[in-house]
Amino acid sequence: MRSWLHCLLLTTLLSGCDTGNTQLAQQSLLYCAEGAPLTFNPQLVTSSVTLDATAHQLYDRLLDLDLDNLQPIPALASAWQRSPDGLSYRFTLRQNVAFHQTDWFNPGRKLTTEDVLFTFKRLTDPRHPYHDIGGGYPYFGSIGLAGLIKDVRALDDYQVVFELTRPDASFLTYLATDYAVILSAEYGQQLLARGTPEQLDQQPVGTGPFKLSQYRSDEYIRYLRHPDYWQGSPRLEQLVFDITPQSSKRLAKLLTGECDVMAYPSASQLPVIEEDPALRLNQETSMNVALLSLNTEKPPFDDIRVRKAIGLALSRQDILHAVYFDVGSMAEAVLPPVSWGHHPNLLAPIPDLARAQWLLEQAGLAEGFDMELWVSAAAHSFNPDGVKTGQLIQSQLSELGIRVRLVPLEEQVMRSRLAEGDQDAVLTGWDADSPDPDNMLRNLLSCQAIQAGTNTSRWCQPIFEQRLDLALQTPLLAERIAFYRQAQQLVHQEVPVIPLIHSLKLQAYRRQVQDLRLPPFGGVDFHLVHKE
Amino acid sequence: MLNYILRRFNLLVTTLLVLTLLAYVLEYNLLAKGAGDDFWNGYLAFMRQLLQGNFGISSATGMPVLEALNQYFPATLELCLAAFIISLLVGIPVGTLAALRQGRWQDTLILSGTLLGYSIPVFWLGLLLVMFFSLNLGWLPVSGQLSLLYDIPPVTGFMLIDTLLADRDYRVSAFLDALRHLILPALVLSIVPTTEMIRQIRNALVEVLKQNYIRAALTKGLSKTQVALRHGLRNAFPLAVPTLGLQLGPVLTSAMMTEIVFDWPGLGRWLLTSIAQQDYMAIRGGTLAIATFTVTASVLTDIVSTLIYPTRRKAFYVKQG
Repeated sequence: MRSWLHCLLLTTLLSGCDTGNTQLAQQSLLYCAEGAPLTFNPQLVTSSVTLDATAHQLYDRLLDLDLDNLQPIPALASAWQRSPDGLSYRFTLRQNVAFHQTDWFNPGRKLTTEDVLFTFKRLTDPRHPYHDIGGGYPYFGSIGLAGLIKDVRALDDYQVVFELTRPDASFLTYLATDYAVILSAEYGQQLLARGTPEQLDQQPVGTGPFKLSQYRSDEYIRYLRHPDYWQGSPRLEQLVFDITPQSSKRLAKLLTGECDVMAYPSASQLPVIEEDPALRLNQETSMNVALLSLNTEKPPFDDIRVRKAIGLALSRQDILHAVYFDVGSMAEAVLPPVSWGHHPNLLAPIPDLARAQWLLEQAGLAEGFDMELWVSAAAHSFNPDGVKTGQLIQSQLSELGIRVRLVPLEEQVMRSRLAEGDQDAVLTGWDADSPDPDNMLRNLLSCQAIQAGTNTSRWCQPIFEQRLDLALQTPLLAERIAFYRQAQQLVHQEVPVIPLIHSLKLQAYRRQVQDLRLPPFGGVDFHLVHKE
Repeated sequence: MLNYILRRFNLLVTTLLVLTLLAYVLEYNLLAKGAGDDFWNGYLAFMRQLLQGNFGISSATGMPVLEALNQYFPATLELCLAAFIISLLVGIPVGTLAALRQGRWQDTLILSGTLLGYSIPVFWLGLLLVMFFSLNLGWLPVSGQLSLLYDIPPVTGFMLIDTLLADRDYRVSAFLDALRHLILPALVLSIVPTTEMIRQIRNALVEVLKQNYIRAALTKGLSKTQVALRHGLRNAFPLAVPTLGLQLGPVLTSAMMTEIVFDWPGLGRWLLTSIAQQDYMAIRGGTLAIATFTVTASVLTDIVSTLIYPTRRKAFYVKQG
């Protein structure tokens, strides 16, 4: 009894003293993130958590995408020229772009072509000392960047030429994705001399608006303002990523003001957020898809009839309702309707258990079978609750006698186990990094992406590949659209993946936060954000 | 006496050896078996590593496990210490009150209260308090050890101390913030030792108040309260305090749950994350650290209380004789 009284007294006293640091709060932004980054180099991952935490905070790219018309705009490259045959691009770099000065690196010079060469040689040249450090480049691997870039040459300190092996209509978009960040060559050489090259991706140095100050794994990341940022130093003094995997806890912190911005509120929380006058909500239609991926290399999923039967047994309607609280739309095909490559005539099958049962009988599996379904334990932008989705699928498939065992996995564990390719089925998805349809289709379904670990269905279809390649080789939009539609037609016929839902991207924040924009692609960007 | 202490130490060392063996069996079955290592050779190598302070490298973070222990253990200790302090502050007066009013309604009320406190699940109470004090009233933070606005370099690992040691303008407000973060988890964690403390103090004092010297003091004309405070409590402590050492185990266990509810960056939460990440080195290191700490602490309280309170020694000599 007395302890309550004590506590009451103490708290009232203490909360009175707490207003002394408004200035510190004014210049800091606390972002409640849904997970910990796997590394500080976005080139090495496809995880949206890592992209959010690093890509726009620490780094810059040669080009950026204009968020309104989705065209490439100058970033580190102030100008560029494409040769008439589309085989060579010349970029002119901005001058006076400063790298971060940190406890672990003291930059001796500004950005030059040397840094651009360093970055892209690392990605494409197997003889580069950093090429094999960090465990591969899933995004660039799946688009085949190493095969696309024949050579990168510096003409002088500020002019760099990329030579391609074939014309690629998406080349500029690749350079504007979150993955194509420019690293410091000088820092790379220093680390090499010290014999600790792996630190390049753990103790990052970039040119971005914020520099890393401190990372306590699974707890928080502290970024400080980069005072010499070429686009003007950010108004925030510090930016802290508070790693809070549980979305209910993120919301609680947002409500009490322990967070200023909350990543991925779940749809069930929207009423609470909308009711509170201190909170604001960002909603953005985003190019993403949540899907059920079936391992086409492993029986019984190598049988197309089994895959079709599973597709017929699933009810997207229920998933949309129960998991997404109707904030989103049912996916008919992999590409969402906002994409210009969307195929308007493809429709997902209407659930039909009788037909599904018949297909299973044809495949000799009338009794059903056992399978494992891997789901992500953390929330994703494309799927707020993998476990719950998995449970729905589990109950829907039980009608066919398919006994599903759910295996919730942490991001890191999932990634390493997917690389081994031993899964039956996995609930996954893709959050597009660029408006280009190629980005989604190639990462999710191309043969190269099997190696990169993003093609979890391990489906490799030469005609599909060819359609994707053809689409990149023609500059005519109408032709590209036709090729992408054909490619999607193939996916629709062979069902390596079952598209489930296109979700809306959500972000909640406190009223004081100004100029926060949720980009339709890729990671969050706090450069222009400030507090009232 | 020396004989007694030696025997206690003997128990300590044996228990610790068994613990390392258990930890090694776990590792042997999960990791090393494939390599075809001989069990006892492997164990010896493992012990050699441990004695050199090498607990391995965490597979999830790439950080040495010892470093992680250094980082997380003080946070857990801070929480437990705060809970013990609360349990003493609340337990002794309330227990005394119950003993003085033995058999009356106050006593019944307090005893039922402790029973209730003892049975309330930690995580449920924690969430309830968060809902009330943080979400409804907005007085206290929801979770964590310190607002992330403050950048406090770790020196001792105890946040309350570190905030005051830090060379920052916002030292004082950071300290107060750390205190505000500590209140709810410490309160929740203190429930179990507090109820235990109340019951022990009450029972011991009731026992002591029956003694002849108490009657003698009463006949001298002192009031019952005066007697209880001057003579009673002093003699009740030796009976009650050693049980506090036994409380360490249950408190550490509840501390883990409390840490999870409040996102307290301590050992428990770290262990749980490690389990989710299948980080065997971290699991092994964490388990060993907690077990070693519990065993050592309870053996030490035993020895210390025997040294301080001669009455306990008496019982011991009787057994020997």
